[in-house]
Amino acid sequence: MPTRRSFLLLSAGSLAAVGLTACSSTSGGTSGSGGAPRDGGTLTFSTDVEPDVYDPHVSPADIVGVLLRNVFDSLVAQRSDGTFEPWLAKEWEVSKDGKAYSFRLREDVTFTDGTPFDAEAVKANFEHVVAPATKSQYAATLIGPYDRTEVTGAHSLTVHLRKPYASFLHALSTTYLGFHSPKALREHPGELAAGGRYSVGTGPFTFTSRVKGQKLVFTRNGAYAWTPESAENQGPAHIRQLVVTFLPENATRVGAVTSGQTDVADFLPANRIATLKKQPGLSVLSHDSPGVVYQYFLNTGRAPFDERDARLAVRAAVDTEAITKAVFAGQYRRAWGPLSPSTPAYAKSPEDSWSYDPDRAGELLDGLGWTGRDADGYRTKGGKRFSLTLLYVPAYTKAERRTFDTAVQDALKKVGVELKLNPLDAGSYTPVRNRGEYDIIAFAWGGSDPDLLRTVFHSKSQLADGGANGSRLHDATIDGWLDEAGATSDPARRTELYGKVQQRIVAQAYTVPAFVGTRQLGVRQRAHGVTFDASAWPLFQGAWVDA
Amino acid sequence: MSALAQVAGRGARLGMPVAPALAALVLALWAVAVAAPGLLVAADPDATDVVAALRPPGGAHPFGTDELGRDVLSRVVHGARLSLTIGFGATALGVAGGLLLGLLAASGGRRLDQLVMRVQDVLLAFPELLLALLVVTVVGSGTGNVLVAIGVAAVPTYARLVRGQALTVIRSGYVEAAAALGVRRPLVVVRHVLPNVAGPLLVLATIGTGTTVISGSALSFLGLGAAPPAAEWGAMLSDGREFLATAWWTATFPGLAIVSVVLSVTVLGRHLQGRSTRGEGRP
Repeated sequence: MPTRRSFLLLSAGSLAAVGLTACSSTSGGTSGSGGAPRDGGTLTFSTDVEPDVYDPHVSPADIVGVLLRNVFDSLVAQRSDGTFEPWLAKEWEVSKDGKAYSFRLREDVTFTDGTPFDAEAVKANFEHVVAPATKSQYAATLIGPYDRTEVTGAHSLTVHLRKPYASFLHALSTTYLGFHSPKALREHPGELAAGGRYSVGTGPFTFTSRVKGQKLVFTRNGAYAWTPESAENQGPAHIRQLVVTFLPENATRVGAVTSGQTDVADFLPANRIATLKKQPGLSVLSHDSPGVVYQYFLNTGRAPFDERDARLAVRAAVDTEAITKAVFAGQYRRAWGPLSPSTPAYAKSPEDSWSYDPDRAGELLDGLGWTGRDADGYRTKGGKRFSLTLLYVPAYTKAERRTFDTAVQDALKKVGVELKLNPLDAGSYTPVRNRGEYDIIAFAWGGSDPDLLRTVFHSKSQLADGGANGSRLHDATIDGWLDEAGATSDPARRTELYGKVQQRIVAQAYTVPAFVGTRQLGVRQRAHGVTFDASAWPLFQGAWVDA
Repeated sequence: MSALAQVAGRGARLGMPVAPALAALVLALWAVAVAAPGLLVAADPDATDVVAALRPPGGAHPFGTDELGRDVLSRVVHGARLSLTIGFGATALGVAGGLLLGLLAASGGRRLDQLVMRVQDVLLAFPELLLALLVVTVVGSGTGNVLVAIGVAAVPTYARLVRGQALTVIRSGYVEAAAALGVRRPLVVVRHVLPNVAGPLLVLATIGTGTTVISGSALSFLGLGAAPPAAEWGAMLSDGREFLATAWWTATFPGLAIVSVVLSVTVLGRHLQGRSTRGEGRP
């Protein structure tokens, strides 16, 4: 009898629990555990943007990871506490030097086209990920220093890495390193991106059809019996069909779930949460997104942010708390450091270590010599205005982020600093950004692995090299800690090192942390058992619907 | 709108143009907003006050505040400058381009006429907004580029009108007489053709301005126009639509501003059109 852990259940976050209680007061049952699960029926899920590529080995899009989780399983699963548990692999062993991972696979797993899942299937998939012809935009980076797969038996294999890579298990747990049927890889390699019947995996659903611009249909895989131990539903999916529709406009998506056209609506806008929670027959599920929070990366590679005082001044000038409250209607939390609190190895120590203090900001700027004022009220030094540029691509910038940026702009104006929001189209943005011709860029990066810190702060992860070091940081101390954390397999030591990195980033004010992104789902009363995985992505394997 | 149409209708029957007068008044008010917005409102349109975000209309904020606590009235008034510059500027550009191409086609000989007008026919096959989107994609976003894009997209309509009018004039007896007297062609165009084209062109341009104001707002709505924090009606509408269910005033007032301009310009345009057709009927 497997121990059923309920951590992935709806009440994963306290916020979700609040949503549920609000709902249960309006109806007899709760959305989370309304009696025994019922088999059959269709659940409709509406999200915002339709992906154009449905091969998880190729696409970098979050939504592909979410939707194809229903079709593709992984070798291991990440628990909500950041540790890993068996999934398609029964057990695994890491060599002393951290460069070889040996897996023993389950022997009872088959793809939905009847092909058995074995070591050769794993090998074929990893080779597909790293093949240049695949043109992977994410999985190939995720798989890291992958060298080769050695098949040591029908259901055992060893993956050899070129160097130690502590995030390998996390990488393996994502949809992006899930497994296509070898038959599909062989017979129609050109159509994997099309999705639909070409996406064949071992997952709880088959990808039945795709009508471009309208909907996706997934049908229950009746033979599914290999969930991770922590899953609430240990058998095949309860629902017969999962239908996914794409409704980019927030108001339309909200309307669809309030009127009952859809059962679960993704990405509820923050300003509607309060009223939606009061709506009868509807509950709101929230889960903080783990990863790098939305923050302003200050370019330390050039003046003025090569000086710590300038960075501290800008950070002290922004009332993050009040802006977060206003922009997200009191639904989101402000951030204190580079990582979201739901990320494994999140450090609590930066909390309350800095504060909004415009007077202090003024003193720091005075100290740096920005004492003059021009006609528009901006600070000057030697006749030159204290002016900053923030680069952004309007097409990729959600309205609420742009609103946040505008609030920051006005906050800086109040201490005499000009912030120019410079919109660029996607094509011209990348080269300008890679050359470091900006003072500030802002972004968030989701993921449930603290090693994201390497992608975003290691000196070898510069934007021009395919990394995301938005602060153009070259900090030998941080590099040292990140290198050690990446090579050690002792979880306690990793947590300690990542904690130090976070502390130093905050102490040096390399970024101005903004807000903690939260995934909010609107769920109708008839739908139950929708859960979140470690990345705060919705899972449907355990979902069921009332008749 | 129907109420205003009734007023207009009644005005016309009584021979008293109430509606056009009203329209002119509205436009005059917007002209003040463009020239000196400070005369109408005191609040800084870009000053945020997150504590006072999304306050309903009333008191210190007659139109309420937006999601950053900015005064919506002030933003609507200050927004007139950008929105109307795009609208009227694009029309001026369209008229200038149309005049040039239309006159060229009418007076430049058969082959040039064919070339210019076939190109215009192809462009006319695209909806104006689509053409403007295409231009913005090529030249990039921003207020200036949006103005140019909409202006360019409007050229074919004006070019066709100008050519038609110009051809009628060029083939008339008095132009032939002028040519026979040895007056050079450019002078003929300036002295005889231009004045005869100007009337209908002005009428069409007035009506067209309504369309360009909407096109400009539409492109800004799509995020291709003004960059934040600049106040612009289309951008305000776009930001405000997220709050329609909770704070209707953020989108409603910029929307009404657009409606008031477009309606006024159209009413005035129709009035001018009526007068000019009556004028043509006179001996």
